[in-house]
Amino acid sequence: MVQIAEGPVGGIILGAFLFGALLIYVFAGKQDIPFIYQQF
Amino acid sequence: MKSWRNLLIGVIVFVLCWAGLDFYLTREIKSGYNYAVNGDSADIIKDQGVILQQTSLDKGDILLLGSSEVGTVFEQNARTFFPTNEVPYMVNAVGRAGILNLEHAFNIDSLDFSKNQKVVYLVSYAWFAQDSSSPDSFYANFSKNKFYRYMTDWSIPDDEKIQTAERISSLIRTYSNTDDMDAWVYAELCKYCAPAFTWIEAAAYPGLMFEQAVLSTKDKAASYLYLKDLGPYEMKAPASTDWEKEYRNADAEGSKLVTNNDFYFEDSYANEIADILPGQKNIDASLDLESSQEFKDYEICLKTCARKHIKPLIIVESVNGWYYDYKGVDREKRIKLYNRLCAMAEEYGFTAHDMSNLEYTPYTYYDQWHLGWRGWLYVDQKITDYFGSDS
Repeated sequence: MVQIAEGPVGGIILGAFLFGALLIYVFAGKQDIPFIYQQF
Repeated sequence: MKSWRNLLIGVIVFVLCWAGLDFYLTREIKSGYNYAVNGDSADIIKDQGVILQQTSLDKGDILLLGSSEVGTVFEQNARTFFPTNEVPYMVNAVGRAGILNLEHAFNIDSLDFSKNQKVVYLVSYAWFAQDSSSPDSFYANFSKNKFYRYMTDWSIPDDEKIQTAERISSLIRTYSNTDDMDAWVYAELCKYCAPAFTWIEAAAYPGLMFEQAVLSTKDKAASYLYLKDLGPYEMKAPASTDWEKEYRNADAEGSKLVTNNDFYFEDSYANEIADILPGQKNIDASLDLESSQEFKDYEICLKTCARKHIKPLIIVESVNGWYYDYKGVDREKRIKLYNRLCAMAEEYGFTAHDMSNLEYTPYTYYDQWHLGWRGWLYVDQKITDYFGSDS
């Protein structure tokens, strides 16, 4: 396990990073919609 | 030791932020719900999602489940016909071309009916014509979120889940499916390792729950953005329904648009199929209406309704009688199908109506099987009888 920073800051940075990834996925990532939707 | 502490803090921060986001999106959707969503049929965000349908249900609307017919533009269409004085509820139409019984079963399973159980289910003849389901059209309506919800629902017996997995593995195995391969792999695993299903389910459960939770937040994010883009909705003032007048209007509207053929097709549809019409004569004479896989899926849908303690109003749509006689599908065979579908629903204690006596009534269908002016009025009348203040 790589230590990101001293104290709880490392954990907070990790949590923020994961949350950022989630935000990108839910708002900007592929929708739960198959692309062939356009054909129907 | 510090690393583990940091990891734990990271996970806690992540989960708290995620819960906050989910709470915020849910609150915004519930407070900013716009009734334009109800009339916006065939919308993939509403149809494949959960939160918009759940919000509409919680507000007391009638959930109308159907297929391509719900998107047709007739003033008699239930999604625009209601509310009336007799039925003071909005109708939320869900369904589009290619949707099948199993997708409706997943949809019903994903909703909470504790506040409102008003559901209408339009059963289409087309679903039960042999080999009618195409993997591409099924996949176009498939929601991995709802599939995982279904597969992680402990109240569903294992044999039903295995049967569903078998069907899903064949229906989403399409060349276009590159994004939901994990759903297909899980369905295949359940299918081929059925004796070890309990172990597979237990091992996959945390992963399925996590992915389903992410997809649920994604559904809320998409619904939130969709609501922000919707324009204002002007609520129709409810009025009393004079059925005789409504049927006169329906006939008048239909007769204006049906003038150039003996099948009572709308003119534009008759023109569209004019070239292929001669080739349709007796083309379906050997059509099997008794062995479609859809019967099992319809049964799963009925079981799901019973498990969710809802009693949907079921309307079995018929077809344009003149045209299906021309195609060589015996009326007897068709009647047998309608009767079978109604009997299956009645076995579960549900109210079912079939439209067999309207096959030769002009303006019931505007093409071969999609509800037209009179057809929608029939549905409206049954909804009024079932959910109306006098019912």
